Amino acid sequence: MDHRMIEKYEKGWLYLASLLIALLVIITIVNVVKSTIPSVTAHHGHEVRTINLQNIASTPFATPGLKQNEMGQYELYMISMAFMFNPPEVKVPAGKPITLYVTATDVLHGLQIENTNVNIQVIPGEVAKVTYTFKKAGTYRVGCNEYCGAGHANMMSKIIVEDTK
Amino acid sequence: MTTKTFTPSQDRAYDTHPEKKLALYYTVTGLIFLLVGVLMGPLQALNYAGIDIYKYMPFLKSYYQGLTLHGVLNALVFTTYFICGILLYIPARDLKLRPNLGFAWFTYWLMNFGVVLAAIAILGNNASVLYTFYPPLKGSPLFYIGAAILVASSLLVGGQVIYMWTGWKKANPGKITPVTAYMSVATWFMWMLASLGIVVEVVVYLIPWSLGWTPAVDPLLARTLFWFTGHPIVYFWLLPAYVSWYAFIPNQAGGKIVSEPLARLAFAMFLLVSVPVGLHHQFTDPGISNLWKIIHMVLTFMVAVPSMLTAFSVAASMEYAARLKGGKGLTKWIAKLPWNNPSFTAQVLAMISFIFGGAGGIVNASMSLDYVVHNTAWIPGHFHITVGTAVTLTFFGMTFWLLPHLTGKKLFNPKLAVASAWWWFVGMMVFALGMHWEGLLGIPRRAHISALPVELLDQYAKNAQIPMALTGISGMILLIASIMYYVVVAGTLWGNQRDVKNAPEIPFSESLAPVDHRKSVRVMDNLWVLFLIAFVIVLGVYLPVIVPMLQSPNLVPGMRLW
Repeated sequence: MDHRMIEKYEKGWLYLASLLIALLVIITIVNVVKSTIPSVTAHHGHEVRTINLQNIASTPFATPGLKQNEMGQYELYMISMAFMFNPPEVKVPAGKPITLYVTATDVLHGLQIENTNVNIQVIPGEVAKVTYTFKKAGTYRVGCNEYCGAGHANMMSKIIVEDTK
Repeated sequence: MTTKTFTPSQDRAYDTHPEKKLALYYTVTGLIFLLVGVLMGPLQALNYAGIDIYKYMPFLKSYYQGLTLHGVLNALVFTTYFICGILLYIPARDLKLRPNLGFAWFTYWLMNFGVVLAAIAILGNNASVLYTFYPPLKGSPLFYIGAAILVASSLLVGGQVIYMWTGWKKANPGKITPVTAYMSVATWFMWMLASLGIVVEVVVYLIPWSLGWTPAVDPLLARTLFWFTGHPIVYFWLLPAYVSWYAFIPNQAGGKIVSEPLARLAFAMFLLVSVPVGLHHQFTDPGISNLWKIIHMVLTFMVAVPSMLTAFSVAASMEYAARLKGGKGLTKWIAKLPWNNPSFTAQVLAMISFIFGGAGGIVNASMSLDYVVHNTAWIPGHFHITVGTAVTLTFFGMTFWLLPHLTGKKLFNPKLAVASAWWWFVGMMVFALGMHWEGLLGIPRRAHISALPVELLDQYAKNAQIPMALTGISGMILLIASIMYYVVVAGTLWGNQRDVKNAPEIPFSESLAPVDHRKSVRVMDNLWVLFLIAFVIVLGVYLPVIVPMLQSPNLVPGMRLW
């Protein structure tokens, strides 16, 4: 075994590593483009990126919960605060895209819906937007997964997905 | 054996190289802080098994205070001390230069001062903000000032190494930097760049805010600045371990570095691509566009390339050594490696751990997969086999030659040292299995779940009895491993007679083939140029993310919720 032979294997390994990386990048970009992942988006156009925490009453977050907009699409407004989610429990239909808007009123929180890949870093004043379609009916637990203070572990809520057929 | 012969030989231990004493103080101080942090670990592991013992701990006010101590001491304080010790001492010896000792002792005491300030805040339960200290949770100003002094001291140490190396280059025109010094200097250059984010976050925003001089901070901007440093910092921890794997392991295995240009290439690549990767911690953050998240994702993936090169090259060096000793076959050569050498064994186990850790890291870095695991128990599972094992177990392995080298004392009970490495490795593997599994079941990280009312805890435990049990058991295995390790350290430091003449030397490895004639090696030796290119790349990918935040700030006041 001399260094020339090792260098030959080394090059092969380097190409293999680069190929792996290229594949991973392509797969993720396809996922994002085809929206098979519920990516958290920054807001553009008429939607605002942040809300004024002193003036929540003038935003849709004044009445958290499920709404239907003029086009009939479902919008779910949620607020994270120490140490609860508002609404603490909400019913949504299965098989329909639900657009979740979430913000926090005090410190950082996390919002993860169990058994889905909806997983949001909730930042006070920033509005996160995620669209997700629940395929199966059932109760989905929602937990806070960012440390927010003494009651962090207790911070939970439920989304009850109901069959619409 | 009387104490009469003991005292004079103690002085001689540092006669020829007084910088040995400095390196000893840095590394041992780091190990002492680690001991405190490590002892918090089993409490956290039991929490994740649903067992709450915080209520029996009179000196801890809460799980979150214990977790802050565990994270800050292990991840931030121990690593910084240990790295400042070895990455000042080793490159100096490789360049055959002596650091300015007055200055180096000043930085050591400055660092102690910073850590004491932060410790006062944490021990008083006034900074239970975890090691990520995200605003608007607001800790005592002492915590942020202490952290700033800790980072500043490390930058002064790194600055000294770069200064020494620059002087060496001037005194040796046309010569190639010796490989160990090259890797060390590249690491410090990387840290100079990487620490910018946390320096700006803490000095410009958090200190004035915690003192009440400014009313509010932008939490998204603070997070972005934190992760600007917060991911590259793991390379600041990992690269010193790589220095040991590349430069010392071949010698310890009885061979040579099979591919020195590749070792240099790996470090040059780390300097170039390891800083602009922070947004992969913010895939689930609102307020940052997907385009920039994807660009950072691609850059994060690229960091895997030098790590995969390292896996190849270091393994090849070991195989080469084993075949020199008559090792044969596809796998039978492995038996010829020096498994009875605790330093070697600990570091190889650390490397094995990093194979799994690195694979999990690719999952975290991948935007589509990260949504499943973000901020779940998976994440601590991941970094306990990267930082907690690949780095920490390598540092343990290094101490098995470093402490005898620095003090002139024999390693206390090498068999116990080998055993401690195995127990640490097994404990961390079990821990990682438990925590990754819990994370996939949606159990959150950093949560005092063991104190939940029974019906809520049962909701977690329903599907997760096995992973929760594994996590709890791993905490006990790791407790035993750390007791074994610290017995070896204490036994070495206090236990036996000095024999300075027969102390082990630094295990610098030779290169299998000469590298001086290689053009690529000459090009890579221009570390200042690489540093400037890295700086431009970082500006290019961070300014478009940070400038919009500065243009429309979202200011939030501080709060204490613990």
